[in-house]
Amino acid sequence: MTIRCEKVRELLGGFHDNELQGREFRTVSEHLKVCAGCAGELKRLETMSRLLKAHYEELAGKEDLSQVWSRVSAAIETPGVSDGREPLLERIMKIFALPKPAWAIAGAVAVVVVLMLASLPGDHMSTLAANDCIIDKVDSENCSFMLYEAGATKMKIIWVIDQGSGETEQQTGVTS
Amino acid sequence: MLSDEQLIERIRQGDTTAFQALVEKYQKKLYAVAYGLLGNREDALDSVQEAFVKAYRSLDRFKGESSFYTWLYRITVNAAIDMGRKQGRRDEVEFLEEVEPEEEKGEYPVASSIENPSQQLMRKELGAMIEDAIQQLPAEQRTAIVLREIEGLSYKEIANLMRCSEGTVMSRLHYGRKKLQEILGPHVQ
Repeated sequence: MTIRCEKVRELLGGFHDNELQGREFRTVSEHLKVCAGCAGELKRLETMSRLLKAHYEELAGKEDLSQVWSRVSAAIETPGVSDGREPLLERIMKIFALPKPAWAIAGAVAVVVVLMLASLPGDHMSTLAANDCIIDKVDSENCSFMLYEAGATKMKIIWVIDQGSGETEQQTGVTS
Repeated sequence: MLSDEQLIERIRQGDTTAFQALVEKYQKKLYAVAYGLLGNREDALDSVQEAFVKAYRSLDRFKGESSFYTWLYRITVNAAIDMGRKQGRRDEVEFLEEVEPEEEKGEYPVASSIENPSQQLMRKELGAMIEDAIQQLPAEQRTAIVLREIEGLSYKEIANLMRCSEGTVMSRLHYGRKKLQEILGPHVQ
Protein backbone atom coordinates (compact mmCIF):
# COMPACT_ATOMS: atom_id res chain seq x y z
CA MET A 1 0.00 0.00 0.00
CA THR A 2 1.48 3.33 -1.07
CA ILE A 3 1.46 6.62 0.83
CA ARG A 4 -1.23 7.75 -1.60
CA CYS A 5 -3.31 4.67 -0.67
CA GLU A 6 -2.98 5.47 3.03
CA LYS A 7 -4.15 9.01 2.46
CA VAL A 8 -7.04 7.86 0.27
CA ARG A 9 -8.18 5.29 2.81
CA GLU A 10 -8.45 7.95 5.46
CA LEU A 11 -10.83 9.78 3.13
CA LEU A 12 -12.62 6.72 1.84
CA GLY A 13 -15.36 6.81 4.49
CA GLY A 14 -16.13 10.41 3.60
CA PHE A 15 -16.20 9.47 -0.08
CA HIS A 16 -18.54 6.56 0.65
CA ASP A 17 -20.80 8.91 2.65
CA ASN A 18 -20.83 11.55 -0.11
CA GLU A 19 -19.19 14.02 2.24
CA LEU A 20 -16.10 14.89 0.20
CA GLN A 21 -15.90 17.91 -2.04
CA GLY A 22 -13.45 19.60 -4.37
CA ARG A 23 -9.86 18.44 -4.36
CA GLU A 24 -10.39 15.63 -1.84
CA PHE A 25 -13.22 14.19 -3.89
CA ARG A 26 -11.17 14.33 -7.08
CA THR A 27 -8.12 12.80 -5.41
CA VAL A 28 -10.08 9.79 -4.16
CA SER A 29 -12.12 9.45 -7.31
CA GLU A 30 -9.07 9.42 -9.58
CA HIS A 31 -7.18 7.05 -7.31
CA LEU A 32 -10.01 4.53 -7.25
CA LYS A 33 -9.83 4.20 -11.02
CA VAL A 34 -6.29 2.90 -10.87
CA CYS A 35 -6.07 1.14 -7.48
CA ALA A 36 -7.84 -2.17 -7.11
CA GLY A 37 -6.90 -2.38 -3.43
CA CYS A 38 -8.62 0.87 -2.49
CA ALA A 39 -11.57 0.08 -4.78
CA GLY A 40 -11.93 -3.20 -2.89
CA GLU A 41 -11.79 -1.32 0.41
CA LEU A 42 -14.61 0.92 -0.78
CA LYS A 43 -16.67 -2.16 -1.65
CA ARG A 44 -16.12 -3.50 1.87
CA LEU A 45 -17.35 -0.24 3.32
CA GLU A 46 -20.44 -0.43 1.14
CA THR A 47 -21.08 -4.03 2.14
CA MET A 48 -20.77 -3.21 5.81
CA SER A 49 -23.14 -0.26 5.53
CA ARG A 50 -25.71 -2.44 3.79
CA LEU A 51 -25.39 -5.13 6.43
CA LEU A 52 -25.78 -2.70 9.32
CA LYS A 53 -28.75 -0.87 7.88
CA ALA A 54 -30.47 -4.07 6.78
CA HIS A 55 -29.96 -5.70 10.16
CA TYR A 56 -31.41 -2.88 12.27
CA GLU A 57 -34.26 -2.28 9.85
CA GLU A 58 -35.08 -5.98 9.93
CA LEU A 59 -34.98 -5.97 13.73
CA ALA A 60 -37.40 -3.07 13.88
CA GLY A 61 -39.58 -4.66 11.22
CA LYS A 62 -39.88 -7.93 13.13
CA GLU A 63 -40.41 -6.45 16.59
CA ASP A 64 -43.96 -6.38 17.87
CA LEU A 65 -44.23 -2.69 18.61
CA SER A 66 -47.93 -2.71 19.41
CA GLN A 67 -46.88 -2.75 23.07
CA VAL A 68 -45.30 0.69 22.68
CA TRP A 69 -48.62 2.46 22.46
CA SER A 70 -50.14 0.46 25.32
CA ARG A 71 -47.17 1.34 27.51
CA VAL A 72 -47.16 4.98 26.44
CA SER A 73 -50.89 5.39 26.91
CA ALA A 74 -50.71 3.84 30.38
CA ALA A 75 -47.86 6.19 31.32
CA ILE A 76 -49.44 9.39 30.05
CA GLU A 77 -52.64 8.61 31.91
CA THR A 78 -50.70 8.12 35.13
CA PRO A 79 -48.73 11.22 36.13
CA GLY A 80 -45.31 10.42 37.47
CA VAL A 81 -44.90 7.18 35.52
CA SER A 82 -41.97 6.57 33.21
CA ASP A 83 -40.32 9.92 32.72
CA GLY A 84 -41.48 10.87 36.13
CA ARG A 85 -42.38 14.40 36.66
CA GLU A 86 -44.00 17.34 35.07
CA PRO A 87 -41.87 20.44 34.75
CA LEU A 88 -41.39 22.28 38.04
CA LEU A 89 -43.20 25.38 36.86
CA GLU A 90 -46.26 23.38 35.77
CA ARG A 91 -46.38 21.57 39.09
CA ILE A 92 -46.25 24.82 41.04
CA MET A 93 -49.00 26.18 38.78
CA LYS A 94 -51.14 23.15 39.50
CA ILE A 95 -50.59 23.39 43.24
CA PHE A 96 -51.98 26.89 43.28
CA ALA A 97 -54.36 26.34 40.36
CA LEU A 98 -52.65 29.15 38.50
CA PRO A 99 -53.96 29.72 34.97
CA LYS A 100 -50.77 31.09 33.40
CA PRO A 101 -46.99 30.63 33.84
CA ALA A 102 -46.69 34.36 34.53
CA TRP A 103 -48.71 33.85 37.70
CA ALA A 104 -46.37 31.11 38.83
CA ILE A 105 -43.33 33.25 38.13
CA ALA A 106 -44.87 36.19 39.96
CA GLY A 107 -45.71 33.87 42.84
CA ALA A 108 -42.17 32.53 42.93
CA VAL A 109 -40.78 36.08 43.02
CA ALA A 110 -43.17 36.91 45.84
CA VAL A 111 -42.05 33.84 47.76
CA VAL A 112 -38.41 34.83 47.39
CA VAL A 113 -39.14 38.36 48.61
CA VAL A 114 -41.07 37.09 51.61
CA LEU A 115 -38.32 34.62 52.36
CA MET A 116 -35.76 37.40 52.38
CA LEU A 117 -37.93 39.35 54.79
CA ALA A 118 -38.51 36.28 56.89
CA SER A 119 -34.78 35.71 57.20
CA LEU A 120 -34.23 39.12 58.80
CA PRO A 121 -33.18 38.82 62.46
CA GLY A 122 -36.00 38.85 64.96
CA ASP A 123 -38.78 38.60 62.47
CA HIS A 124 -39.34 34.91 61.99
CA MET A 125 -42.71 33.51 61.15
CA SER A 126 -44.42 31.00 63.30
CA THR A 127 -43.68 27.29 63.07
CA LEU A 128 -46.22 24.95 61.51
CA ALA A 129 -48.50 23.00 63.75
CA ALA A 130 -48.25 19.22 63.84
CA ASN A 131 -51.75 18.69 62.46
CA ASP A 132 -51.12 20.70 59.28
CA CYS A 133 -51.49 18.64 56.16
CA ILE A 134 -49.12 18.39 53.21
CA ILE A 135 -50.89 19.25 49.98
CA ASP A 136 -47.95 18.69 47.66
CA LYS A 137 -44.19 18.62 47.55
CA VAL A 138 -41.95 19.61 44.65
CA ASP A 139 -38.27 18.76 44.61
CA SER A 140 -35.80 20.62 42.45
CA GLU A 141 -32.08 20.17 42.25
CA ASN A 142 -31.19 22.54 45.04
CA CYS A 143 -34.29 22.89 47.12
CA SER A 144 -37.71 21.48 47.89
CA PHE A 145 -41.01 23.31 47.95
CA MET A 146 -43.71 21.95 50.24
CA LEU A 147 -47.23 23.22 50.37
CA TYR A 148 -49.07 22.80 53.67
CA GLU A 149 -52.48 23.74 54.79
CA ALA A 150 -52.73 24.89 58.38
CA GLY A 151 -55.41 22.82 60.06
CA ALA A 152 -56.84 25.57 62.24
CA THR A 153 -56.75 28.56 59.91
CA LYS A 154 -56.89 26.80 56.50
CA MET A 155 -54.03 29.03 55.49
CA LYS A 156 -51.78 27.61 52.77
CA ILE A 157 -48.11 27.74 53.61
CA ILE A 158 -45.07 27.16 51.47
CA TRP A 159 -41.91 25.68 52.91
CA VAL A 160 -38.72 26.17 50.95
CA ILE A 161 -35.99 23.84 52.12
CA ASP A 162 -32.43 24.40 51.02
CA GLN A 163 -31.08 20.94 50.14
CA GLY A 164 -27.54 22.23 49.96
CA SER A 165 -27.12 23.21 53.58
CA GLY A 166 -29.54 20.64 54.95
CA GLU A 167 -30.06 22.95 57.88
CA THR A 168 -31.91 26.02 56.81
CA GLU A 169 -35.66 25.72 56.62
CA GLN A 170 -37.66 28.76 55.85
CA GLN A 171 -41.35 29.24 55.55
CA THR A 172 -43.86 31.80 54.58
CA GLY A 173 -47.59 32.21 54.69
CA VAL A 174 -49.66 32.82 51.59
CA THR A 175 -53.24 33.84 51.24
CA SER A 176 -55.70 31.15 52.10
CA MET B 1 -54.21 10.82 6.26
CA LEU B 2 -53.58 13.68 8.65
CA SER B 3 -50.27 15.53 8.71
CA ASP B 4 -48.16 15.69 11.86
CA GLU B 5 -49.24 19.29 12.38
CA GLN B 6 -52.91 18.33 12.19
CA LEU B 7 -52.37 15.44 14.59
CA ILE B 8 -50.54 17.70 17.03
CA GLU B 9 -53.39 20.18 16.92
CA ARG B 10 -55.81 17.38 17.78
CA ILE B 11 -53.60 16.18 20.62
CA ARG B 12 -53.60 19.67 22.04
CA GLN B 13 -57.36 19.55 22.00
CA GLY B 14 -57.25 16.37 24.09
CA ASP B 15 -57.49 13.71 21.39
CA THR B 16 -55.13 10.95 22.52
CA THR B 17 -55.92 8.79 19.48
CA ALA B 18 -54.08 11.44 17.45
CA PHE B 19 -51.02 10.82 19.61
CA GLN B 20 -51.43 7.09 19.06
CA ALA B 21 -51.24 7.77 15.32
CA LEU B 22 -47.94 9.60 15.78
CA VAL B 23 -46.55 6.82 17.98
CA GLU B 24 -47.43 4.19 15.40
CA LYS B 25 -46.00 6.28 12.61
CA TYR B 26 -42.55 6.74 14.11
CA GLN B 27 -42.01 3.89 16.55
CA LYS B 28 -40.11 1.62 14.17
CA LYS B 29 -37.55 4.18 13.08
CA LEU B 30 -36.98 5.27 16.64
CA TYR B 31 -36.78 1.70 17.89
CA ALA B 32 -34.10 0.84 15.30
CA VAL B 33 -31.91 3.73 16.40
CA ALA B 34 -32.48 3.08 20.11
CA TYR B 35 -31.65 -0.59 19.63
CA GLY B 36 -28.47 0.33 17.80
CA LEU B 37 -27.40 2.60 20.63
CA LEU B 38 -28.40 0.33 23.51
CA GLY B 39 -27.96 -3.15 22.09
CA ASN B 40 -31.03 -4.89 23.48
CA ARG B 41 -34.76 -4.82 22.90
CA GLU B 42 -35.90 -4.15 26.46
CA ASP B 43 -33.81 -1.02 26.86
CA ALA B 44 -34.67 0.09 23.34
CA LEU B 45 -38.39 -0.29 24.07
CA ASP B 46 -38.01 1.52 27.39
CA SER B 47 -36.20 4.45 25.83
CA VAL B 48 -38.69 4.73 22.98
CA GLN B 49 -41.56 4.64 25.47
CA GLU B 50 -39.86 7.25 27.63
CA ALA B 51 -39.27 9.48 24.63
CA PHE B 52 -42.92 9.35 23.55
CA VAL B 53 -44.12 10.09 27.08
CA LYS B 54 -41.71 13.02 27.36
CA ALA B 55 -42.80 14.30 23.98
CA TYR B 56 -46.47 14.08 24.96
CA ARG B 57 -45.90 15.91 28.21
CA SER B 58 -43.73 18.55 26.56
CA LEU B 59 -45.93 19.09 23.54
CA ASP B 60 -46.80 22.62 24.64
CA ARG B 61 -43.15 23.47 24.28
CA PHE B 62 -42.97 22.18 20.71
CA LYS B 63 -43.15 25.35 18.63
CA GLY B 64 -42.89 23.78 15.20
CA GLU B 65 -39.52 25.35 14.44
CA SER B 66 -38.28 21.95 13.32
CA SER B 67 -40.35 19.01 12.15
CA PHE B 68 -42.10 16.97 14.80
CA TYR B 69 -39.99 13.96 13.85
CA THR B 70 -36.77 15.94 14.30
CA TRP B 71 -37.89 17.00 17.74
CA LEU B 72 -39.02 13.50 18.68
CA TYR B 73 -35.86 11.97 17.26
CA ARG B 74 -33.68 14.17 19.43
CA ILE B 75 -35.68 13.25 22.54
CA THR B 76 -35.36 9.55 21.72
CA VAL B 77 -31.62 9.60 21.11
CA ASN B 78 -31.09 11.57 24.30
CA ALA B 79 -33.28 9.13 26.22
CA ALA B 80 -31.26 6.21 24.84
CA ILE B 81 -27.93 7.84 25.66
CA ASP B 82 -29.16 8.79 29.11
CA MET B 83 -30.32 5.23 29.72
CA GLY B 84 -26.97 3.87 28.59
CA ARG B 85 -25.23 6.27 30.94
CA LYS B 86 -27.43 5.32 33.89
CA GLN B 87 -26.57 1.70 33.28
CA GLY B 88 -22.91 2.55 33.59
CA ARG B 89 -21.92 2.11 30.00
CA ARG B 90 -18.43 3.31 29.28
CA ASP B 91 -17.72 6.91 28.29
CA GLU B 92 -21.19 7.73 27.07
CA VAL B 93 -21.51 10.80 24.90
CA GLU B 94 -23.05 14.07 25.94
CA PHE B 95 -26.66 14.95 25.22
CA LEU B 96 -27.57 15.79 21.70
CA GLU B 97 -28.41 19.06 20.05
CA GLU B 98 -30.85 19.98 17.33
CA VAL B 99 -30.72 17.92 14.16
CA GLU B 100 -32.79 17.38 11.07
CA PRO B 101 -32.84 13.63 10.42
CA GLU B 102 -34.14 11.85 7.38
CA GLU B 103 -37.86 12.17 7.04
CA GLU B 104 -40.10 9.17 7.28
CA LYS B 105 -39.68 6.88 4.31
CA GLY B 106 -42.33 4.33 5.16
CA GLU B 107 -42.25 1.00 6.91
CA TYR B 108 -39.05 -0.93 7.31
CA PRO B 109 -38.93 -4.11 5.30
CA VAL B 110 -38.94 -7.53 6.92
CA ALA B 111 -36.45 -10.17 5.79
CA SER B 112 -37.54 -12.31 2.91
CA SER B 113 -39.62 -15.28 3.99
CA ILE B 114 -38.34 -17.48 1.14
CA GLU B 115 -34.93 -18.04 2.73
CA ASN B 116 -34.12 -21.64 3.53
CA PRO B 117 -33.35 -22.61 7.15
CA SER B 118 -29.61 -22.50 6.55
CA GLN B 119 -29.79 -18.98 5.18
CA GLN B 120 -32.01 -17.93 8.06
CA LEU B 121 -29.50 -19.33 10.52
CA MET B 122 -26.63 -17.51 8.81
CA ARG B 123 -28.58 -14.29 8.85
CA LYS B 124 -29.34 -14.73 12.53
CA GLU B 125 -25.72 -15.44 13.37
CA LEU B 126 -24.54 -12.50 11.33
CA GLY B 127 -27.08 -10.26 13.05
CA ALA B 128 -25.79 -11.33 16.45
CA MET B 129 -22.23 -10.64 15.31
CA ILE B 130 -23.17 -7.19 14.05
CA GLU B 131 -24.85 -6.28 17.33
CA ASP B 132 -21.94 -7.59 19.33
CA ALA B 133 -19.47 -5.69 17.17
CA ILE B 134 -21.41 -2.43 17.48
CA GLN B 135 -21.56 -2.78 21.24
CA GLN B 136 -17.82 -3.30 21.43
CA LEU B 137 -17.21 0.17 20.02
CA PRO B 138 -16.50 3.11 22.31
CA ALA B 139 -19.70 5.06 22.86
CA GLU B 140 -18.77 8.00 20.66
CA GLN B 141 -17.84 5.78 17.72
CA ARG B 142 -20.97 3.67 18.22
CA THR B 143 -23.22 6.72 18.29
CA ALA B 144 -21.64 8.15 15.15
CA ILE B 145 -21.97 4.81 13.35
CA VAL B 146 -25.61 4.33 14.36
CA LEU B 147 -26.61 7.86 13.40
CA ARG B 148 -24.86 7.52 10.05
CA GLU B 149 -25.62 3.95 9.05
CA ILE B 150 -29.10 3.45 10.45
CA GLU B 151 -30.52 6.93 10.35
CA GLY B 152 -28.45 8.23 7.42
CA LEU B 153 -27.57 11.58 8.99
CA SER B 154 -25.00 13.83 7.33
CA TYR B 155 -21.71 14.62 9.06
CA LYS B 156 -22.98 18.11 9.80
CA GLU B 157 -26.10 16.73 11.48
CA ILE B 158 -24.08 14.23 13.49
CA ALA B 159 -21.62 16.96 14.50
CA ASN B 160 -24.50 19.14 15.72
CA LEU B 161 -25.95 16.25 17.66
CA MET B 162 -22.69 15.18 19.24
CA ARG B 163 -21.37 18.71 19.80
CA CYS B 164 -18.16 18.14 17.89
CA SER B 165 -16.63 19.12 14.58
CA GLU B 166 -17.36 17.38 11.29
CA GLY B 167 -13.71 16.34 11.25
CA THR B 168 -14.23 14.57 14.56
CA VAL B 169 -17.30 12.83 13.17
CA MET B 170 -15.27 11.66 10.20
CA SER B 171 -12.55 10.40 12.51
CA ARG B 172 -15.02 8.55 14.77
CA LEU B 173 -16.64 6.92 11.76
CA HIS B 174 -13.26 5.99 10.31
CA TYR B 175 -12.00 4.26 13.43
CA GLY B 176 -15.40 2.78 14.23
CA ARG B 177 -15.69 1.24 10.80
CA LYS B 178 -12.14 -0.02 10.92
CA LYS B 179 -12.87 -1.83 14.15
CA LEU B 180 -16.15 -3.23 12.82
CA GLN B 181 -14.32 -4.57 9.79
CA GLU B 182 -11.78 -6.27 12.02
CA ILE B 183 -14.51 -7.90 14.09
CA LEU B 184 -16.82 -8.85 11.25
CA GLY B 185 -13.91 -10.00 9.11
CA PRO B 186 -14.94 -12.17 6.16
CA HIS B 187 -18.57 -11.06 6.28
CA VAL B 188 -17.68 -7.67 4.87
CA GLN B 189 -15.35 -8.93 2.11
